[in-house]
Amino acid sequence: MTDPAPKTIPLDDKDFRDQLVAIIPPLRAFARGLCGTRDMADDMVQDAMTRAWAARQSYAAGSNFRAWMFMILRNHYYTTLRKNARMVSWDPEVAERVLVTGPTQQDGLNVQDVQAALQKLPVEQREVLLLIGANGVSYEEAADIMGCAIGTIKSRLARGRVALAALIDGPAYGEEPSAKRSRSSALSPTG
Amino acid sequence: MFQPWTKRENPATGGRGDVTSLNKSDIVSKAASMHLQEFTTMPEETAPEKRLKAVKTTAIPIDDPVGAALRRLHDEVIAEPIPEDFLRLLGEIEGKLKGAASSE
Repeated sequence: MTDPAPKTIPLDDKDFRDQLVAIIPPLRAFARGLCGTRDMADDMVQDAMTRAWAARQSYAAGSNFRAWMFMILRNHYYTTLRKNARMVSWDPEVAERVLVTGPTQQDGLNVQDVQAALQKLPVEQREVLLLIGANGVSYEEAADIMGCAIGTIKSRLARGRVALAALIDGPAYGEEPSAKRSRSSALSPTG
Repeated sequence: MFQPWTKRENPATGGRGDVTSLNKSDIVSKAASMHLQEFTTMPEETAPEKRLKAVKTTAIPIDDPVGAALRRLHDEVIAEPIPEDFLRLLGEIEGKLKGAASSE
């Protein structure tokens, strides 16, 4: 005979509300990175908060609230993307065009440049970069949020990081300076 | 682990003392091959039995410019005051809480 499934104990409403308040800034940061615009991101977060409040009985006290909220936000983002059919896909030609702006000093990367470059990445890479690289969540937590294996998270993170670096700084890390120069000249209007 | 500093023996001192030198090309080549590092940290909220086991987590290296830019992007939003819309939404939730409490 098997034991019945453990009963979910929901969080007290007031505690739930307090947790919701505390999670607003990281949620906004994640949404801003995903959406690229402040207004859309904030709408997305408010919708996620409303959904979370409506579903608060299904949240088990003591479980990972941050992961739960990120998951709700992420699901809402994907639903909206599907509705709007505006899924951004990786396009090497687009990436090349971004490089025309020329390499920047890596130690002084402009936040707006990074934000713009993020929007050129496939959404799967973008979200893993935002979760792990910006928000500091663990592989395990990111795997829970995104509903995939840790190995998938690791490979997306590695590919995303290289792609983002390429978008911001030109060629991927490790490329010879001569190759970098030849790419730059090939991209220049006179070259 | 990224170690830009290299220790070399100084022939001028007959190898008695080490000279720590910073080689720029070493830094560049190591930065080029920099990969994600794994750190071991203890999560804040875990079941007691899980506390015994350290959970592997990861971060983009602290000195990686891409990682630094991502964190700056994140920190800028975190530092922003919470917009009025959010406060209104929280106010509605607060109102529902009070309504529920008064009806009990």
